[in-house]
Amino acid sequence: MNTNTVEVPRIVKSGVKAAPEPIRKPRRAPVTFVGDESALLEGLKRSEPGAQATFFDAYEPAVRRVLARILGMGDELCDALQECFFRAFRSIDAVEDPKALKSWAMRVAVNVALDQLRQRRRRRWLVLVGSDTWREPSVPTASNELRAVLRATYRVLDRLPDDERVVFALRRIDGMELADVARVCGVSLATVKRRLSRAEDRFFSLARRRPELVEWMNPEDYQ
Amino acid sequence: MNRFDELAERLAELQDQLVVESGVSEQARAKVLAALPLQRSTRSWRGPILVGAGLTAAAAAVAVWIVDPFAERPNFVVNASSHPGAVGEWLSASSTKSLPLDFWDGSQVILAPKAQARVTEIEDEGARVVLERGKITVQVRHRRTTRWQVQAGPFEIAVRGTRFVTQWIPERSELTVALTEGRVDVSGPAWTEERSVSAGETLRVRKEGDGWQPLPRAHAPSAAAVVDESGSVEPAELEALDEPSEVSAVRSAKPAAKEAADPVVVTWQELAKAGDYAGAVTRAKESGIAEILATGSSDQLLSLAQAARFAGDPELSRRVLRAVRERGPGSPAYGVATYDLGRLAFDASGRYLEAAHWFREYLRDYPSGGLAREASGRLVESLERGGDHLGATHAANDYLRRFPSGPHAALARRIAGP
Repeated sequence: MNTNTVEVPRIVKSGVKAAPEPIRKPRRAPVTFVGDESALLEGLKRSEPGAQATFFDAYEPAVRRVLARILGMGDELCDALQECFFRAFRSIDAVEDPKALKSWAMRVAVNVALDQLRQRRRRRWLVLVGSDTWREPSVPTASNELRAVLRATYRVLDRLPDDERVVFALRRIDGMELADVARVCGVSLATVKRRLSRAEDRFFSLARRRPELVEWMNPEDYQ
Repeated sequence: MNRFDELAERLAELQDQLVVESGVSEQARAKVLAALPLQRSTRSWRGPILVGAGLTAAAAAVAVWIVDPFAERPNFVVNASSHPGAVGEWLSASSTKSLPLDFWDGSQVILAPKAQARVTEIEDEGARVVLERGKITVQVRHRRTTRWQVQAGPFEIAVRGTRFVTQWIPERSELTVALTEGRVDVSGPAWTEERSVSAGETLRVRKEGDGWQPLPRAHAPSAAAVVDESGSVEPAELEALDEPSEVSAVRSAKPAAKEAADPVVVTWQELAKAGDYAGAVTRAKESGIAEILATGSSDQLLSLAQAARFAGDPELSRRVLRAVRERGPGSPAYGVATYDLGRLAFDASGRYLEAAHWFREYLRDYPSGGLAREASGRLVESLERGGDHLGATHAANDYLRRFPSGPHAALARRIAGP
């Protein structure tokens, strides 16, 4: 630990020189981050644990939301959530604008989700692992039917290409604005619109064959 | 707000609830904070979020990483490289030897002796194989955008990354699909919807007269067991589904032996959760509906009623929902059963005034319940369709007062008038 110690001889009352007592230079005061994204970014770039903890608490809900919308409910959600922050801390130098911290964190989440989808498919090659490997906690107010509809929705999403799945999940399930979807996916607005159009065609075409979903389809979605 | 957007909102809410209840955030937080401080990488970040100069090389590396690794042109070879395959070519295995087809992406299709097939399409995402007659073993390697299809007679089998055996007997118009690993979706004239077949299951269907007769779907301990034991299932009617002897890469004996010793018993609840509602209803009936109604929890009964509704058995659904109500009010299940009886009357039977009765019952007992908005909207719809226009107008005004921007608001405004 670098304490910048300096040895200074002490003179005690008897006039006898005492053993030198180290003087510790004060360490830099901890940075406070409340409402100050510039300070937060600065602390993150210095790998300060306080900044990293604050970053987690501030952006975990948004990151978690992105992961859940794309991946659905699966056993890997906790690991994916950790991975997002590990990656974010390691690659913080990529961020220049403190105001971009949140969207950047969500973009890391999209990339982690894509990696998880690829890993899922590799595991499926050996044994069937669906997106409903999750042990659902008991949520008394949630109807069985809604859970069945949620499972069915992600079974259909499992059949979409990953890039289409991401934009559909963020736009149609999360309700994210198109410009934000483009930002967190790192693509142009035109690309998002194109992918969304294809995703909607595919999703509704598949969904209308599922009894859990068919009554939720708008007639214009499958004509 | 349209119906799907309304559903999406509710799904997102449910998902958030489930995640919170699971404690995922707390677990992740504990692990992340325990690992702090985490040092930033001193190397350039090789991900797609790299900013600044020097992007080109990293972007090129990322582009190669994202682009499918199988950059070679899609193709296949017949009989272990002795003959390059051609799209549309007629492929016929001899009477004594099987014929393997090896595809560029690592997938393999093996024609059993006497089988005939054609590869009719090849694309980057996969291939399309038409099985003219006989039996093939299919092992599709799963990639990011895998889309394989097998056509057997009038049936289409959609494949994502699986291992299975399929047989088509044109003289009997009989299809068999036996899954070793993974899952396929089968569509065709025997059903109105796709049928999913999972590992360990066998699907059989045969044309009888003008219709198609689904033969009992066997939950065999393993598809391999069905495949190996030629006399194991209806030996008088089926040809043996023996795997070709050259298939050493397809399957090993060990998993089959283990699965044969430990048969898997799948409950109706598990089938329903997996989306196999017809299978769930069949299994429930095998177990005894009366037994389930007597001993099952209210939540289980609601699941069964739902599975029956999705499987197209409204009578069973109605019976189960009434049984839930007979247990008395005082639980959320009672209210859900009331609402679902209304929906059943409306959707499955077109009995609109009966549906309106149930929705009114729900609103009387649970005026601020979780389904109050839906019940109110459906009440408007039911009365209107049932011809009670005065009742519909009252219900519409009530709906607009309580839920002015709900999904039924447009309908309510039209009925309520200016």
